[in-house]
Amino acid sequence: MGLFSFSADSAKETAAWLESLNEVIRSALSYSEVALRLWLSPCNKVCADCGAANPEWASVNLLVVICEACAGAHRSMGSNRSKVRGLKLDNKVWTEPLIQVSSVMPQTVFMILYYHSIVFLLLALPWSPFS
Amino acid sequence: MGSYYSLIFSRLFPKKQITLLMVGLDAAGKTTVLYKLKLGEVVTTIPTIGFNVETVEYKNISFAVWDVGGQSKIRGLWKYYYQHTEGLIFVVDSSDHDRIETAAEELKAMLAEDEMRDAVLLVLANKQDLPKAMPVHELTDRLGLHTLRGRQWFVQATCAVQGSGLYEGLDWLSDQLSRR
Repeated sequence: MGLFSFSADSAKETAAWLESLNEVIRSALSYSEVALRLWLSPCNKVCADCGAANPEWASVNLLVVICEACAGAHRSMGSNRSKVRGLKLDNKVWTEPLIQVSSVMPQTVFMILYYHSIVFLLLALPWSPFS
Repeated sequence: MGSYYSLIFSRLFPKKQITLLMVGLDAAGKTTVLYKLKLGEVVTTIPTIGFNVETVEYKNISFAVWDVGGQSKIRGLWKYYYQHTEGLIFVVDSSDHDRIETAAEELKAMLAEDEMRDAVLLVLANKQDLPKAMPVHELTDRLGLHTLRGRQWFVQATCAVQGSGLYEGLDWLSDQLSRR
């Protein structure tokens, strides 16, 4: 193992070094298999929250594919609300059933899983047809 | 003249430097801990792919804190940060019951490494504000800390977004490491 010593003269230079190192780590360790399969479904090609193209993260309990910035927002809500995993950097969570359920019509699955919440929401709305 | 005295002062009492490595599973709150210590505020984080490093000044000690990403594919990189690590901060999401076993395995594997034999261990039982957060005694149990031999360790309950517990953790680390 070689030992490298980097020195930077300014904070700006340090930031540039760190960004390059992080980019190298990302490209060296990413694997695209899961992302490519999920992206086959058109609704997974864009972030479910903001619409950004080719999102590389997902909430594995809400079953939505999201971008990096929205992944940050989901994580800040707590793992009891959204469990965020990377499509390209998490090789443990992506079992075959999870890939299948995430790629086949995620919205329908979302509706089935959360129908009770949706029903409660409908009942609570002031203009609800059920109240 | 003032700078002359401060120069003499810093020569007589050089600031102690401590190198800390902060790891843990993804979304445990490591980057939030780092920037809460550095800036005193909660920053909006995105998942860390590589690492962040900052120096934190506290009680005349300069802590160099390395915060390394925790996604499963990149945990294999942790070992490249072991060299010169005096203190290990292992951050756990106390509300994540599903992955506490995984956290325990990762911690155990890391402590078995030869380069880590002298490092003291501070576990941050983070996200104590979330519902169903495991208390310190339960976390201690599930991480198997009582079975550790020849290791100084401590578990500190924290809530990084509120900043609670973080400086208590640093106090423990500086106590342990300044005795050496």
